[in-house]
Amino acid sequence: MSITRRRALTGLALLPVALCGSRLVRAAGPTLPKVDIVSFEPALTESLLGLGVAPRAVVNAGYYREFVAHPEMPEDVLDLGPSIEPNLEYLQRLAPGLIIGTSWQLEGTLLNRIAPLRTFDIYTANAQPYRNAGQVMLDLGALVDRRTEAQTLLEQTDRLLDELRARLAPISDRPVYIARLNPDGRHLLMFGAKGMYHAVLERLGLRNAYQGRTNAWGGSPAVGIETLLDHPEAALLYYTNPREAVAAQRRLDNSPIWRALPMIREGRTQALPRFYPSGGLLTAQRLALTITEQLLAMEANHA
Amino acid sequence: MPEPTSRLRRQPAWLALCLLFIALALSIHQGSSLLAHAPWSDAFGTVASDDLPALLVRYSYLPRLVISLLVGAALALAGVIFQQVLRNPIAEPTTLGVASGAHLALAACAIYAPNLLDGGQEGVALAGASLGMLAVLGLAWSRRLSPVALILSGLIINLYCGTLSTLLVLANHEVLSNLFIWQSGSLNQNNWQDVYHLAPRLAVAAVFAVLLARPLELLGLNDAAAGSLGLSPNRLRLMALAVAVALSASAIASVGVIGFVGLAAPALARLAGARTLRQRLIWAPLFGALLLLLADQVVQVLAGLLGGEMPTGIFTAFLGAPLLLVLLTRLHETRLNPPSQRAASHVSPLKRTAWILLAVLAVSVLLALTWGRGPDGWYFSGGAEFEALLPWRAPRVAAAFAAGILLALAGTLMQRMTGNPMASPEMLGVSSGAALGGILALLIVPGFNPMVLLLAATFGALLALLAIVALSWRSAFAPDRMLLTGVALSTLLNAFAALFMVSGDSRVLLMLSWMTGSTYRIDTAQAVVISALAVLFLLVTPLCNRWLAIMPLGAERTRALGISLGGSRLVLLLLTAVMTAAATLVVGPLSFVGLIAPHMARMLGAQRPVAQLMLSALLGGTLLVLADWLGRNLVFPWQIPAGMFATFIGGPYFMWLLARKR
Repeated sequence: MSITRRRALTGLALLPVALCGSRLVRAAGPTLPKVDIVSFEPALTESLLGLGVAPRAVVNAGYYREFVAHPEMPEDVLDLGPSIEPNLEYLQRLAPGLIIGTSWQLEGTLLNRIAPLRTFDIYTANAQPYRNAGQVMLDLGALVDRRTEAQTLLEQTDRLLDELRARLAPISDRPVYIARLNPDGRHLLMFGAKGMYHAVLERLGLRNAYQGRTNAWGGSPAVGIETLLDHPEAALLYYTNPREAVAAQRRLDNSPIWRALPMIREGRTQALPRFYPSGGLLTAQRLALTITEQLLAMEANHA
Repeated sequence: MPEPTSRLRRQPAWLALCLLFIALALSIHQGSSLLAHAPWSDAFGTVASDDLPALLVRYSYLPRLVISLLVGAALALAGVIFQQVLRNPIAEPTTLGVASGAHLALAACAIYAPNLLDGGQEGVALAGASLGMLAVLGLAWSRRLSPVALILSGLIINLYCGTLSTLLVLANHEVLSNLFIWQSGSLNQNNWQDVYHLAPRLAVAAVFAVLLARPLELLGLNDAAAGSLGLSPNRLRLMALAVAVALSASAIASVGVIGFVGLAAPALARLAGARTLRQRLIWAPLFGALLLLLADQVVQVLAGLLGGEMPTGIFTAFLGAPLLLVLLTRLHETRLNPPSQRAASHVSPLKRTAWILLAVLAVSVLLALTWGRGPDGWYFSGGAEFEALLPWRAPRVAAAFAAGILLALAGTLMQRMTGNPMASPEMLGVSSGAALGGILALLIVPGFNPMVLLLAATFGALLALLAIVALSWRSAFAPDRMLLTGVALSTLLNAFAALFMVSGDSRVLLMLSWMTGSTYRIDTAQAVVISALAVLFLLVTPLCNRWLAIMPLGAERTRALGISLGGSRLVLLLLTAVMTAAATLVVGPLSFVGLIAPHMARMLGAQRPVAQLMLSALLGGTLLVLADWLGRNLVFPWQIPAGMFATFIGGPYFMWLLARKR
């Protein structure tokens, strides 16, 4: 074994991690008052930032910045490494006042040696993520002493969703598919029961057209695009990962079935920006706004 | 002799007819249910753009039917060519590194150069496939591409490419989800593009195959005969291989990895009586087409029954793994290497070596416990800080150390038992079995419970062991055969891992982290258990001293000295299996420590079994402690799993071992 070979391989091994890290370098973000809390869960990080406070450290900061993005996270929030394996020694040195996360992240771990733990669950067995997200917002508000802000956010969101529901009432009998397109042009990931998309659709008085199997976060296994024919009268909101968008769109445009899908043919489809599908109350708010906008725009085109 | 030929020709025809009949019956059933009682003529001719049932039949059902025939034929044709050129009955795209090379290339492109994929996956897949194949050929070259050497090289390249792909997935999970589907081989179609794409390529390859048939047939006899045709044998082989690689790359670029058709179809053709190469060139693609059509129809029928579709590639892998095992038993038994008994060129006093190694170990452990990296760079911790960090560091260090010991002991046993310097516990398939058990537990049991994983992995290791024993019993545990069962088991493991990834399960990252040998989740209890096992086996394995001393001398000598070959091998096998299973739970199914440590021990002068056992245990433990320490700190705050880190060191060593000229 020559040293050079070992080095070369090590370098190779670190490449993806290094590149991942380089994405973190950004222009300075907002400055927010810090709370002595470490967050393991993007949905909780999102809610804290929405309350106007920033956690000291989060797990996989790059992931939050790329996939959740809103509200923007200040630059000086520390990164604890991968979400499934946060760096415990680093955490120990930080000695935070509290660690928050979901039960599956915190329970059964030895993290309580480092700091007190508190779990907040949005995606639970009751399959009511929207309602849970509101409750979590209130609980977090109590935790960081921003009860009024939390209450205001919750009421604001509720009011907004009521308003949107009223605007959508004329088209509420049309079921809606929400999907992520795969670049192979043959498969979709559907968002169904137990997920935030589904909950928001329900809250808006709409019906999710996808009724199949989903995981705890409402994502389906990959299904063929002909699944969309289960409800040919439905509308379709979809997004692609930006890097794959060109390939996906090109392949779909070449597909007679895609072009013949009633929703495509009759213009009942709109592209969505990408959302973090397992977010909290603020994600729900932005989802509701975008879904309503797109559906109404679609209906306007249609008419 | 026209009589026998025509009789032979009739037999494959009957089998083909049977397959065709069943596949057609299923297809028509499937298509009719799609058309919902509309006449079939609706799907042909001009289809109204809003007649969805007809459109589905025309643009989803029919192209899927045709693509399964084309892909099946293409893979089978490639299989026949591979097998003929390499004189190896189990050569096919998935056993030769072609598929895994393409997979790694596609994963790397999806992350670093997504634009390259906008125009399609074929070019990238072809480049990766060619590199994978070249690596396998390069590794097996010095052994004149002997069948066993080729398959082992293929296994290594598959494992290595797989590890690299996993590393990419761990850091870029979101981006690569599309690749999970590709990896599992779904034949779903929604236009005729793939058919238009693949059909001409298959036709060109078929023309080449026909042109090359006669020279290749002569090549099967001897090189001189082929030379008399005015073609250099090696150039001929290279051309044929290029055709086969290009064809398999086109097929898997369009639909994904479909394993075992390239293996099953030629085998079926041979069983049905196609003896000559030209007969096989005709019948194998026919069988391949029908087999894949049948498999794909069964998948769709099952999907209707189970309410969810299993990708066709995974289905064929399930069917294929047992077939591979059967074919393996027919592989010529060739010794990879004569028993290695070379005395080390200079024997340093063992005692001093041992002391030096102990000192290295002590320093490594000390470093691993006290020196770490934080946001401000490296730092020593002592006193209170040391005590605070110890509960995080100590279990990982202890578990890595113990796993290294267990793997090194298992490796020493295997190398001594088989007289084969390339034997290592990973190759036996026991570690694959353990990982397989773990994945199945994840698929069935919700949550991520380490105890459930432990139980399931032990169960999987034992089942793998039983399979090995059952398959090797007749040959009295002949060394090479045992090594090769590992190939089949690791293939099955890959199929299950792919199924898990495509299922959209949220624990996919947990599974990957576990499979890459992360010590992150080791708690004190687990560390204590595995350390106790290490101590136990350090005491037990030296009891096999006599067997281990005699066995490398060969089967005849061993029997002559009054040792029951089957019995002693069974005991050693059991020991190896238990040690490997325990270590796998800590550092994952791949680490190569079990391979390197015994070698280093021998190079350092440990010739006698007990000395080799102890020294390699020391080396193996130290290696994994260092791998774990570096993995924990090098990319702070991220981490590289210890098993994976060790792979990056051990993999190239293994390749060098395989490739070096004797």
